[in-house]
Amino acid sequence: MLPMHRRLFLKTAGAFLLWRSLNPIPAQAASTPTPIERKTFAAFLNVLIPADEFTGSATDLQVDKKLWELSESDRNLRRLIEVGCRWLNLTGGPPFTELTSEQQLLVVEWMSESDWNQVPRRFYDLIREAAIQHYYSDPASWNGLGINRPPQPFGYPPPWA
Amino acid sequence: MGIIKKRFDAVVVGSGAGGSAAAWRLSSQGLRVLVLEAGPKFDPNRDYKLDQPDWERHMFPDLPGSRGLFTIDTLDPLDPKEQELRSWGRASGIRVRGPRREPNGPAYWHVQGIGGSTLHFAGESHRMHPKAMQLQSKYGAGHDWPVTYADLEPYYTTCEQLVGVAGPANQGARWRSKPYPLPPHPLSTPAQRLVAAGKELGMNWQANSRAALSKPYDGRPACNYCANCTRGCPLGDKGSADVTYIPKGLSSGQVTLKSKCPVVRIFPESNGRIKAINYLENGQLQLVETPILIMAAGVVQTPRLLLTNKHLSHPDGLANSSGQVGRNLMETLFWSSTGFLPGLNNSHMGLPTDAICWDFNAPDSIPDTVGGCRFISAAQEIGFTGPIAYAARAIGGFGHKLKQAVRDSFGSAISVSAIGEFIPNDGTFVDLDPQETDGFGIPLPRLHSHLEPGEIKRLRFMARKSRRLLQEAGVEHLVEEYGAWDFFSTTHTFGTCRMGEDPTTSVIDANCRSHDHPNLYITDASIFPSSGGGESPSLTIQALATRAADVIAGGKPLRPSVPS
Ligand SMILES: Cc1cc2nc3c(=O)[nH]c(=O)nc-3n(C[C@H](O)[C@H](O)[C@H](O)COP(=O)(O)OP(=O)(O)OC[C@H]3O[C@@H](n4cnc5c(N)ncnc54)[C@H](O)[C@@H]3O)c2cc1C
Ligand code: SF4
Repeated sequence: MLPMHRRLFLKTAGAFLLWRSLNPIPAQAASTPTPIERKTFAAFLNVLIPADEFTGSATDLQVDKKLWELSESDRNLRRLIEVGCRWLNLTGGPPFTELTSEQQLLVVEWMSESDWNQVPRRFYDLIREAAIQHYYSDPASWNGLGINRPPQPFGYPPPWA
Repeated sequence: MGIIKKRFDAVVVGSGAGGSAAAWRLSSQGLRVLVLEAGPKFDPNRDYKLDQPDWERHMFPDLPGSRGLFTIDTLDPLDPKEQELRSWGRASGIRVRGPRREPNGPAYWHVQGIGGSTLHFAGESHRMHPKAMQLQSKYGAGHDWPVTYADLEPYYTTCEQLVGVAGPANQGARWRSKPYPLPPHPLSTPAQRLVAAGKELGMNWQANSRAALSKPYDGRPACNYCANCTRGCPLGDKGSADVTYIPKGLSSGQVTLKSKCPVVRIFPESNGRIKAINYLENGQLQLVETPILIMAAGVVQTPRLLLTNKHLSHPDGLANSSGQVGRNLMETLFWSSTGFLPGLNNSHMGLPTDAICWDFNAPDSIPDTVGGCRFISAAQEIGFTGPIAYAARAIGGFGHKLKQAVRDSFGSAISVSAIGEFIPNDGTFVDLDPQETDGFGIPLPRLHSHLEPGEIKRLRFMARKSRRLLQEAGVEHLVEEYGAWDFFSTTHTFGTCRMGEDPTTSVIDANCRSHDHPNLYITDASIFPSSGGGESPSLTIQALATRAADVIAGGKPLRPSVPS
């Protein structure tokens, strides 16, 4: 069940985040991430991509760092992270980082199925995709996939069966 | 304004599939040719990223000036009855949530650069189905070609030899005077499964004919099966124009090639002959006179140049006495279905589009509609070549389940894609945007797209057959489908300067010469009277361009071939 305060936020925040449908806006006005934002964002990313026996988590592979770097030159991304983290931490309950892993999972599960036009779902979809892009661009994530190098310069000479 | 004093026998506008082939053929006959290319020169070592760890995040590189500007008019509303044709993915859900078709990515996929759009093409090398060139006279739809398959056959052969096409011995209706220069490529694992599934369903699948080298050829190495041709081939085995026609032309010493030099003005004389053109070089306007002008700027920029060059003697633009410049645009009618096949491995390896089924390619082979289609094995072509595509497109959810699902499924994607005939209609065309201009105040081209019921019927056929094939191959659940019903996304694009015999209904004649201007030729995809039933266009563009060059250089084309 979604905590009440997070539901209320949905009503007020509206569907104003269309990160990818807008051209990147330079981040002149982007605020420096606060320590709480950094912690919240890292925790969220690690729910999306946790560590397991084969490979590290999103933050082990520095996905958070890469997205923060990107957000320095893309104000829409910066706003998306800011609003997403605020939603995750709405007061009235413990902040996201202090929830148990089961509670964090429930929150993200809810986000993934929520209204596509609202902030939590957009935040989930867009950050999920961005995290996947950066995580699987790192060879450290390829363990267990049967690949250990990019397609070139060696290609994949046959046989393939 | 600078004036170029050097005399050329011909100026070619654009160095893509059609411009490069025309320039090579003219130069091989001793003519001095100036090729003006709007885009930059790509350096595969610097610009292509397939050897980088983050290769999967990079599509074909986007360098400054490597995309032409255009706008798109409002697209068709979606008919809710056609839900089965929606694009969707396991991860994204429904792709188009609004009430209308939407452009996907740039929508008109093309590259401006030395080599043009061949730089990012997959390299399928197809001859037209002979019957697809007689659509009007045989089936009462679309338009006929003023040349026959037999007229083009010697040029198909010439171009296949130059490029080093690898293909099978027999392709049914597409008879040949000479075998392909190279043997076909080995089939990747998903292609093998589709060949077997097709057999069960009575469909004939075979190795596709590919402009990619199955053996070293003409100083170029063989393909190493990296599976990612559309991101730019760093080996140079893919037969894009920058490693085939262009170096051949340059080595003749007769070709002068200039990149980043867009042509902006064309000057006719009162008798209709084109006298000179203006192009930009480093921001400076240059004037060059020419006895022959060959337009090969592609389906969108060629009509734009003709339409923006209005003169007192040609108030509707050049070559446009018929009013047909910009009309008859034919976009890509495409479909793809993908599933994971348990037990299938390494489907991210091999040559993209390595297997094809031509069974439904003739114009009369799909029930209740004129126009055919073809099916290909497409897992690599549509990008299931790395873990990002699996996780971002085809696997939903997050956390441990997501990671495990990527590991479980990686290498098991199997896809069928289809491309079908697009019959020209009044709602699909290119005109000039009344508001938007480029940095020089020249109106941008505007694309209009509309699907008629015949296109929807063909799409439905393509979707159902694709699903049936995957089911027969053993796929239990599809993970992604993607098609032209809700997405406007055109890769194989034709029309806008149609060739024909009648000057009142077409722009150029059978030899690619303008009906209105005796020294103006067009040799790009804009000249196709019909799209064909999914044939990839570049080989036919090049055959038409080399044939036109022979007419320019020697007065007549090679004799038509005779089927044995
Ligand atoms: C993803 C993808 C895959 C494809 N796969 C295949 C395939 O497997 N097989 C196949 O046959 N085809 C394929 N195609 C299609 C093929 O690439 C095009 O049909 C073909 O390149 C078109 O040739 P063209 O000469 O008409 O235009 P282009 O190749 O686009 O060349 C036009 C050139 O003109 C230049 N130009 C434009 N305006 C000006 C100006 N004002 N002045 C000077 N120069 C100008 C452009 O910069 C460009 O270089 C594919 C296309 C895409 C997008
Ligand atoms: S699969 Fe072959 S032709 Fe395609 S990019 Fe790789 S090496 Fe080049």
